[in-house]
Amino acid sequence: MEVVMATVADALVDAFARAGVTTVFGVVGTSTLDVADAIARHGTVDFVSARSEEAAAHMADGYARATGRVGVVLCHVGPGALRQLYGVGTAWKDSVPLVALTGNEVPRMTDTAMREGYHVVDVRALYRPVTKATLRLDDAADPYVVAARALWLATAGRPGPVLVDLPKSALKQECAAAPDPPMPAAQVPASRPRPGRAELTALADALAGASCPVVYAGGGVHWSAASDALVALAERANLPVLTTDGGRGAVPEDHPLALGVIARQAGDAVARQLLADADVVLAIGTPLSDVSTFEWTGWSPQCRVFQVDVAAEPLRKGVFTTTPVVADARACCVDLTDALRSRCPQDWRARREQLEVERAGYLDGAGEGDLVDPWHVLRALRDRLPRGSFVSVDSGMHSYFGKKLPVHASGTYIRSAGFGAMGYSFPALLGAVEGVPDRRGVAVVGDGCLAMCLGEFETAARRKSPVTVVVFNDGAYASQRSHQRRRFDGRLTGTSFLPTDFAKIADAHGVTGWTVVAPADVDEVIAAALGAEGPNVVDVHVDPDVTPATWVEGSGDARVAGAG
Amino acid sequence: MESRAAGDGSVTAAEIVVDLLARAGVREVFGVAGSTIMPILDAIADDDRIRYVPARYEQSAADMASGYARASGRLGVVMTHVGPGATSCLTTMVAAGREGVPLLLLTGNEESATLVREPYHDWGLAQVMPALVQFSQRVHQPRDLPHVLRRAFGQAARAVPQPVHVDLPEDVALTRVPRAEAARWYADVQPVADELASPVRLPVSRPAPRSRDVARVAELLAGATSPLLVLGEAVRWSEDPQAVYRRCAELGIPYASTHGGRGGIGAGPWHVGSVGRFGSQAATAMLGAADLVVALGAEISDVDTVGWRSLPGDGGSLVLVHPDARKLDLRVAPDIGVVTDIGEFVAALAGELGAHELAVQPEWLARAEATDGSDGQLGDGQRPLDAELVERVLGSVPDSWAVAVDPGFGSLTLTSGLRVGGPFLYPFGFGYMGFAVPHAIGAVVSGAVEGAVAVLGDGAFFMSMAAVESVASLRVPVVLLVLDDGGFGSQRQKQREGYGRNFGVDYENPDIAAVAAALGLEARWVDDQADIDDVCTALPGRAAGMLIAVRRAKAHEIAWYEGSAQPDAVTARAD
Repeated sequence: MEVVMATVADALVDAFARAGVTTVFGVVGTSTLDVADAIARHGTVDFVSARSEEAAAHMADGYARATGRVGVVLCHVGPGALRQLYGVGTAWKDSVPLVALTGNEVPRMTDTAMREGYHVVDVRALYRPVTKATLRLDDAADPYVVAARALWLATAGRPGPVLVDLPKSALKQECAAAPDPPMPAAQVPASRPRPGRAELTALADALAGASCPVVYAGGGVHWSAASDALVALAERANLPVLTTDGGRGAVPEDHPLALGVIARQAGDAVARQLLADADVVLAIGTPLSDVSTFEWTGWSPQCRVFQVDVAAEPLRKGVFTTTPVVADARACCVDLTDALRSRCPQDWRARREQLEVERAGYLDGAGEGDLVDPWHVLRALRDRLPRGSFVSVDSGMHSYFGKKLPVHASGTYIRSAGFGAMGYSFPALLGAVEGVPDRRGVAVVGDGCLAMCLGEFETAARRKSPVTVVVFNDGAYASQRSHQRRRFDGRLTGTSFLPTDFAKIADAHGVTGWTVVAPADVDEVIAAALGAEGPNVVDVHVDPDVTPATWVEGSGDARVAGAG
Repeated sequence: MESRAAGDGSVTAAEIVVDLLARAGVREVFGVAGSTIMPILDAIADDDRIRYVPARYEQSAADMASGYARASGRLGVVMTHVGPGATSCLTTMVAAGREGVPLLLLTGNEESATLVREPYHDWGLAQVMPALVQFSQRVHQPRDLPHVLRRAFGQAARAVPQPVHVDLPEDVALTRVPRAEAARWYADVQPVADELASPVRLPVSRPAPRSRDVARVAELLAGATSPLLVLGEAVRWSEDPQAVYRRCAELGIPYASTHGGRGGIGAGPWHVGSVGRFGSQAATAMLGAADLVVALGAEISDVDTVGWRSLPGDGGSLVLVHPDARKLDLRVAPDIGVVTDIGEFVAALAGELGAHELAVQPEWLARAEATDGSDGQLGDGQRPLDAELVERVLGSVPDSWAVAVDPGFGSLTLTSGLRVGGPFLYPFGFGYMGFAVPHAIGAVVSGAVEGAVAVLGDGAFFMSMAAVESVASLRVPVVLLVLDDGGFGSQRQKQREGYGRNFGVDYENPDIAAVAAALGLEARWVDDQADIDDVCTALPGRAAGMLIAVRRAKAHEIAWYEGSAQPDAVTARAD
């Protein structure tokens, strides 16, 4: 038995492990065999194989959202890197800290890469728009330094994905293990800048002088682990809290001061009214995008909007706010709690009650028809899903129902809020439960979405993942079909497909599958699925003609809806 | 709201797009519905000239369009939603650029006015697309459309066709313009408007070689003792590829193909099979041993030459003949490079060579005649069932069928030596998994073939399950041969050879036939010879798809597959 020398690949894995990385997701390919083998040799890092690279990246993304730790994904050169891009783009739009490792050929003029060899594409150029940085582990580079830099960039400021390109030639070189290399922690936040004194005073004065102040929380609250500080601020000053879609769970949604979700798709009317009534909005950790502002029309022209973000870049991206504040969400909430001496005199209870009435209203009468009403499924889930469970919702008509599941804790809502990536929620949930294995999760998906990630049934079965996938099966891209019904005189083209038997597909994978066609079976099956161990699928044939009242048409009509 | 029955003599920009596509000869558009492309989808619905083929995933839609283009030589068109939808097409677009596939990606986008603020779904796709495709353009106003599409069609129709991209924001797509005004725009692009009224001509032109170049190559060929012609991917863009094959067979000089050039070549005594990492060992050895290699429409890549190792040695010469000047020194510097259409070149060469005595050695010809493509790379005479199945099925289908092959250990090695009479579809430049099934579908939809066989491993199966569903729902005669070894066989072998252990490459596969059946596809396992007899008898004339799965040993002691010891093997065979 020859002595195994430590290689650069070993050092790279060691560096990530020292930084606290315990799980790597990926799909193995020739260019990454050295890293895969180093993971095997190292022994402390769990490698979770996916069946396609986009799913691997979604898993790392879900893991990061669930744990606040950096998701790490490892994929092959060229085609692997390109497929992974879909998942990295999803992470980019939602500021998810991710390190994407891609194998590559040897970057020398004499070799394959420069001659447009097999598989090779300029990965770094492709990834530039969706990453904070694209690094390369060159032959002479110190793997500890490269890993440290990747982790720091992924976590510092606005979190986000970082690409590390790994040429084969570098990975095989011998490398002595550093005795005690300085490594950043592989988790967010990397630092907590506090608001400047003048800015803090301006925020406190504005909130104290407002007649209808509103705190508007985005995904940055999760990345800052600021949920408890936000709740303390709200309670101290009696401030109502709205969240963006990505910010859901920033305050527990059953909290008396939680007044709903602002979203172009499936938001709460009460929340929207409150935002329209506000005279001061304190937006924390949100870039105020089109979807979280009804295309920048959500508040009155007189309203003063203050925006707090840990990085300067998202400030003033969607809205030219007058007082941009660079500060960590938690630090800002803590400092404001100290600075605010007065309580808002408003009584928010009426609005809170309205919100509860609004939410209960969706479920009224559900389950009375011959076909399964999607709201009936939602009620069954809401009534039985343990508090704190992961809730993952995909993109499409089903999300208008699924998003009405309550979210009670930061980091439990797993959703592609900014990219709207179909086929995301199932693999991302698989990643989330890898990070918090004792917490079960439910993924609400449409049949269109699930068809895009069918390969991951095998992953769920192999990993015995504690997930329930609830499919809203209507044989169509239902949101698109609704567009056609409303805007194209009911001409239905290309939005329907033959029914897919997901329970049978699950069953073929050794995953328990139920098909539900009768309303009478809904509650029992949902109860059985949520009570079981391991993965299972509930394929519900829902009434295709139920369109939620909150459904709004796409960008073409959003302004119309926004004006209402 | 956007009623098409406006009755006011106006048309939407989306309708203009569809009209221009139809005028350009587009008969099928592949896609996945999304709100931003809804206006185009709706316009297609009422236009009898174009059929919409829905897929279940944009990756799958793009690959179907690519298969359509590869099999038929016509422009493939795929249409997707903004952001995520478009992103899912990138792999296919990159491969199309690398491999010379005429492909139009038509993406919807959010409203123009929002784009500067990076709205929902959007990312910097517009920044990277120009680097990936030949032409990428956003339409800013309806009146740009004839120009943009004219450019897109023109750039797709290069000497070697290319992928192009047109982005259409939803507000632009919905803009109504009076018919009379639209007609004036058409007139503005005269005389191109007339050209737009006929199918896109691919390629745009077929230049003939200079006679001096032909004479030099003929002289070299006549004087060579062990010459080899290598037919590549660009042969298909000649007027009549079959005439090229026929002429090559008549020259009396051994000829091979690259993996990109495979398919439809026919069996003659001097045809030695395909060269390269995934090709026939004997043919590849001849590539290294030849004193003259004339590559006809072949790029001569790292794959073809097993990492540049199998090239003419000392004193040998390399001639590259290609319609795309860019390809001439991309990988290797040739002794002579000629820019020409391959059909034109071979016709001229045949004429010129007639005046020469050939110096080719009888031993070299005997060596060519002795190749049978198969190389016995499966070793010890024990023919595994998977090899038997692939060979028998490919032998049973007529030349009117296409064969699509996924990159992977089993699918590549088991098809490497087999003759393919119809179109051979393989991602020879980009080598991406999940290729075969959607490409087979696209080939059949194009009407260029009557059916298609897709050969793939279980790894590719799980990456392209959305396309497996489409085989069933589109009811196309696509036969899937799935070689199931429970994971990534090629990586497994490389790990065994280079790392002494397997890690991250083994999966816990379910019963693949049962999964396919659950997706609505007729499916079965093959367990013995009788099963193979069964499936082969029923194959020709099949109208619907099916999946045939076969179990494959996890470990293979095969000397001939990219990583393993092949430079030595090549040298040994070349001596």
